Amino acid sequence: MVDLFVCEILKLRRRKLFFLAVLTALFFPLAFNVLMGKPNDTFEDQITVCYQFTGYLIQIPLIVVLAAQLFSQEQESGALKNLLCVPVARAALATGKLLLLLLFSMVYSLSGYLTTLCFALLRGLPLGGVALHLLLSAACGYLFFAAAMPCVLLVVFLNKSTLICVIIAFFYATLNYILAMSKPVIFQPTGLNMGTLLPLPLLQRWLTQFFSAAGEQSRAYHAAFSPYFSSTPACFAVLSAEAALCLAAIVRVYNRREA
Amino acid sequence: MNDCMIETVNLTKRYGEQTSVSALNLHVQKGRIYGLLGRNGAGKTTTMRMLLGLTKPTSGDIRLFGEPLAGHERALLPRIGCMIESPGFYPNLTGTENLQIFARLRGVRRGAIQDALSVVGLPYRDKKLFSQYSLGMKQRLAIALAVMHSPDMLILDEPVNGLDPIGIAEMRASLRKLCDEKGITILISSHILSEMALLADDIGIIDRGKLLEEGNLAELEARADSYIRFSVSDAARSAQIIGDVFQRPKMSLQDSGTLLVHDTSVHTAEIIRTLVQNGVDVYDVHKREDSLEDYFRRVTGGEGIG
Repeated sequence: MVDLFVCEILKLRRRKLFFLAVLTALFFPLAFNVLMGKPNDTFEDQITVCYQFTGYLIQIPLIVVLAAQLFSQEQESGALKNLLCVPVARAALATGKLLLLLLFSMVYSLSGYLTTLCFALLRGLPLGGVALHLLLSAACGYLFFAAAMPCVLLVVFLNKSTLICVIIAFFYATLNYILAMSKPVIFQPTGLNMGTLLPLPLLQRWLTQFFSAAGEQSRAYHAAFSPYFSSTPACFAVLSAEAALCLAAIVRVYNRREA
Repeated sequence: MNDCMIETVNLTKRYGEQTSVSALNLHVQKGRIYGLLGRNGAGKTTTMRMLLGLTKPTSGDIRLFGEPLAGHERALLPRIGCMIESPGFYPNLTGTENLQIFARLRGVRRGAIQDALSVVGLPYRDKKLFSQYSLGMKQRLAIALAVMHSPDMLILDEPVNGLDPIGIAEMRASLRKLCDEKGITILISSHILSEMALLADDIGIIDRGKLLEEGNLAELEARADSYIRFSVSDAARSAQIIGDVFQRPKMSLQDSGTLLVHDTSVHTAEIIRTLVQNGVDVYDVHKREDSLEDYFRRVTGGEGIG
């Protein structure tokens, strides 16, 4: 398994998309600071933007698009038959790719955190919750990966061109984002409802409890939302269970691909 | 046949209504080069894919190294080097980088990559990406991958496709060397008869999914039909005369006026003289020697191979 994982990393040589994807983790905090920065910003304000915009709208689609590329590269190049003759089990090959996606997601989240921290230091912003948000960023690396899995399953199943995968990925992320911002969806207790079962609404219900509310309007919203915050075990359990189901299905779909 | 490295028993593959491979009984002996000869679409690649576990047979059995393939893939496949269909590698990597990936997965020592590349005449330190390779270079890299882990057996699907004549000759010499010096058994498919005649020890002819003939090259050449055709006034009487005078060579009557003598070593002028002396009119004599290609054409129903 270690060899397979290392090989997946070796295969990324000269893959510009992968490295450009990692660069966006640095670019968006920069853009937010330069274009939307306010004098009374804090590090927590900046990192909140990083979670909600970069995480929800960029990181998840990127995971999906990269997954589509990773899962199609052997079939497109014809290398799959060579791997199967080694022999490498398809399940192991698929697992190696999923581990790489998890690593990408973790690196992406932590890169966003570090960039935001650097800008906060450069601008001399108040640094509150630096340690907490390091943990949250690491957790988000895993949770965004898990949240992307239903869409990864869809693109692996459809096995279509990169352009179609990009459209599917951004549609999935945008729809989830809208639902995650929708009061009727997220103002619900943990249970069999959209606010619990859909990945981003659940993430929003979990993450918001760690954001500090500034201003009267924000404080009122925070107070109204607080009864519906998800607990950490519930958020991890639901997203992990959904991801596990999707991972099993992805491996099954990949097993059926013709070499 | 004994000492079979590959043996298939009634191996069959159907895709819906279409039968790609039908009741194939293949025997590849240890330390020999077996040429699987057939036209495009004859079932060569499907057969090889089944031998490598890439395609599941509809029915029949496969034994590799004396062991059934089913359930023993993890033990048997590492002993095989293969090249199936077009060479498949990562286009964004160099040849060496591609081999490094497979070397890691196979647990092969690093020096083996350089050795394998030297066998096929490709440079070790080359910055050219696989996507920039010519077809010939891609073929060579695929052969390098096949031999890199010192396998006991090679299964190569049309490995000389895309190579120039010098490259073909070099490849042929390399494969012969691997077989003769390292004792590697090689199953190689081709639709080029002349290539197979130069390289293979044993040949199997496959057509429309069926193995029509199997044997060593000398046996197949012996089966190629050679004869002298006599157009005469009385074929039956001619056969009797020739049988009495020339120690009964193998003969057949085509019709009342045409006799075939299946022994081209007999003296044609003497036969003509004897027949005329015995009152038989000889109108035409034609000597025909089947080439191996004629034989294959006949075996495959007239369409030929290479």
